[in-house]
Amino acid sequence: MITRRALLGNALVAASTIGPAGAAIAGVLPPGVQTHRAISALLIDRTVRQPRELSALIEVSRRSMPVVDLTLDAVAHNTLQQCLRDSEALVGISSGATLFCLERLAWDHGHRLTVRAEANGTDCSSLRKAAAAFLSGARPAAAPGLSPPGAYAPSRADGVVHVWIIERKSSVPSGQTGAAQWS
Amino acid sequence: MKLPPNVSQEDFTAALAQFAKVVGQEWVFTSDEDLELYRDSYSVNWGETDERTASAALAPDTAEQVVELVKIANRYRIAIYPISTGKNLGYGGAAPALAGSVVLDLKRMNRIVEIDERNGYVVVEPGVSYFDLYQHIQDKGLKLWIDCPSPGWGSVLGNALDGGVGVTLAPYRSHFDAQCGIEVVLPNGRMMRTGMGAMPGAKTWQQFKPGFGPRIDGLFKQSNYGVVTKMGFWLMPPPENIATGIVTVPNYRDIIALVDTIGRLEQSKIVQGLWTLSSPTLGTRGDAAHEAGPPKPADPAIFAILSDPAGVDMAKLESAASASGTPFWSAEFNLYGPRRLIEAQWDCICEALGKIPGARCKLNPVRPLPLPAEELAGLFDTGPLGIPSLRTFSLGPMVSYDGEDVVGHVFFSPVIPRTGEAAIEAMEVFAAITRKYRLPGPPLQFPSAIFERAFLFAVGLPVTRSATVNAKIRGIIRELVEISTARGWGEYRTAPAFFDLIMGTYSYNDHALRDFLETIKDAVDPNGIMSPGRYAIRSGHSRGGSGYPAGTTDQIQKASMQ
Repeated sequence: MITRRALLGNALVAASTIGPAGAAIAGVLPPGVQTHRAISALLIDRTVRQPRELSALIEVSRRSMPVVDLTLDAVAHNTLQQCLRDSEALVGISSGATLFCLERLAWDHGHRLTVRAEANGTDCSSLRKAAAAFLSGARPAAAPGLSPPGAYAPSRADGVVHVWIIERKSSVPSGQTGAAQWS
Repeated sequence: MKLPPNVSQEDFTAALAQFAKVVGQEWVFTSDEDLELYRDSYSVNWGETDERTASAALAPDTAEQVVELVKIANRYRIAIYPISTGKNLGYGGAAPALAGSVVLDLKRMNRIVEIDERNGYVVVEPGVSYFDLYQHIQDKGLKLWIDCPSPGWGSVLGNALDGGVGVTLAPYRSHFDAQCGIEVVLPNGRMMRTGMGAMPGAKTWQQFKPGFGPRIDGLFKQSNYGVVTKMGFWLMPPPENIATGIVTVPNYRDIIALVDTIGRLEQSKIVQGLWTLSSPTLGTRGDAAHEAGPPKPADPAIFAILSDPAGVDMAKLESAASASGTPFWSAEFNLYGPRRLIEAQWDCICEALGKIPGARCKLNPVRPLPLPAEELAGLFDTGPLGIPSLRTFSLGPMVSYDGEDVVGHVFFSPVIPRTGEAAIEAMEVFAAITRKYRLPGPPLQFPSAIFERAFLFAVGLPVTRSATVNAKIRGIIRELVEISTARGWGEYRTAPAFFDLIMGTYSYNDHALRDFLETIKDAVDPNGIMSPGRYAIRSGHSRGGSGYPAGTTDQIQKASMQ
């Protein structure tokens, strides 16, 4: 059975190939259909070389949302914590090692890793499609490169690039953000 | 739903409902998705029946809630396993020592209860990470420095309780030794304070460690006698300056005089900052500091000797190093304080070590602190500057082992004597194991001077998602433990998979220490609900044949007798 989520996701993946993510979603979503939590920012792991397939997408995304460098040190930690505190959902492009750290930091703010796609550095076209879909607010249930969210190698040296969404867990009471509780 | 050991589904359901009344339903985690993050990502039993996974997790917000949760756990005889932030990677992560335990996740208890610049201390709850404490100090503009481990996302309190160490000045590096005052919820649900904190309204809880009567704080390190809900720590004033100084010595066996001399300087408190042993000959850090620019590539003759699959012939290596004018050893010192103190320390260090023939000394520029942000951004490790980071993860784990992707590491961490002879023996013994099993790593790994009076020899062994390869790693660790025990080298810390193995090595007088610890356990936790099996301490009903893996203790004991 195809779920509404899968249908919407696949439609967005297809749509994303024809233009910038923000433009694609406007033309695809039927009136009244809500996406999931809106994406607040795009996090970019600067310790991995971005595949060229993703570079253009990142630049396009700058027009519609904050793009935040994802570095793991005390200075950036404060920015990252604020980002997690203030966001409902975030898209990221990173190595497995960085995702591993971020997933655990995000947990403290009530966020969960909900969808993830991966590819090695040699062919990232499917990853670009997944990233475009994620940035559009979709969580495709099936797409090339899509992998079980939690099943990844926390590695940097393996050359695998991950695109993912973390979002606030729905069970966190409304009006009482995870941040308010965890910090 | 996974059940705690010896607890019925009916009782567990009832207990969960009562837990929820205390913390709120949203802070009771039972779904697979939620419990996934309480697995030890670096488990050497990943996906096997022996993997220690939780049945549920609870996240209280206050010590009073902890009291209530402990009482409920007692009522239903449910094993609970407190964690602070659960970042104990390489030593067990967030996973319980006993499969099916309910994890008590204390992350929400992340208050900095008190911080005193004048007397240099802080009182924290378990959920306060090194990042949190650092940021709090920055935000308040306090003249205080912290000593942090790498990485810095761990709990200040949890790291101390696990025996963790940092990288700045000696009195602060051993985090448990830097603590002053503990508040703990005992297994019967009673709250207790140690030291001066036992006096209501005490004004010196964080200023006088001994307190009155026996000093029992150590009972809560690497144990399971309670849930520590607050802990005080001594902090240091920020040093005015930092400088690194390098001393090199030419020959392999010069390490003996080098370690002896530095040891005396440390015992005299002339050397207080961490010093790092390395080898320009082997191409590790330390050699670049004499000159500008990156380290020179290894001499081809040296490289050929280092690459010998039969192992490094030290005589040949020393000869090649001598021919190329490369010193064999270097000691890099981190020096802190006023400029004249740094220069005076350096004079003393050079005077003492200069007696070793061929020794060369160089002090790098004295730098005022804090360093500029752009310079910090380029550093791999900011720990020696009192700044936590996660940059250690930028290394990534080893790529592969035995054809399997490596996803993490598990530490084998023996403590060896602070002598050059012991360092040589340990380096050669562990290098032989590295070659035997083709483990990833340099031809020689060096001991760390992170402890004040002994060397630490932390070896990170690869962890994969293959049960076969992980079983091999467990076997290697057992072999390492046997080899070490036979030489009188004990581990200072380990992952839950090896708690029993390591405790078995501390077997003097027919395991008198373990028996004493379990006598205490029986007294304070008769129902055995508090972290059963943590550091191999169990209450009476869970001891016996199944409590200690068959043969393990005997094997280790025999090894220690040889």
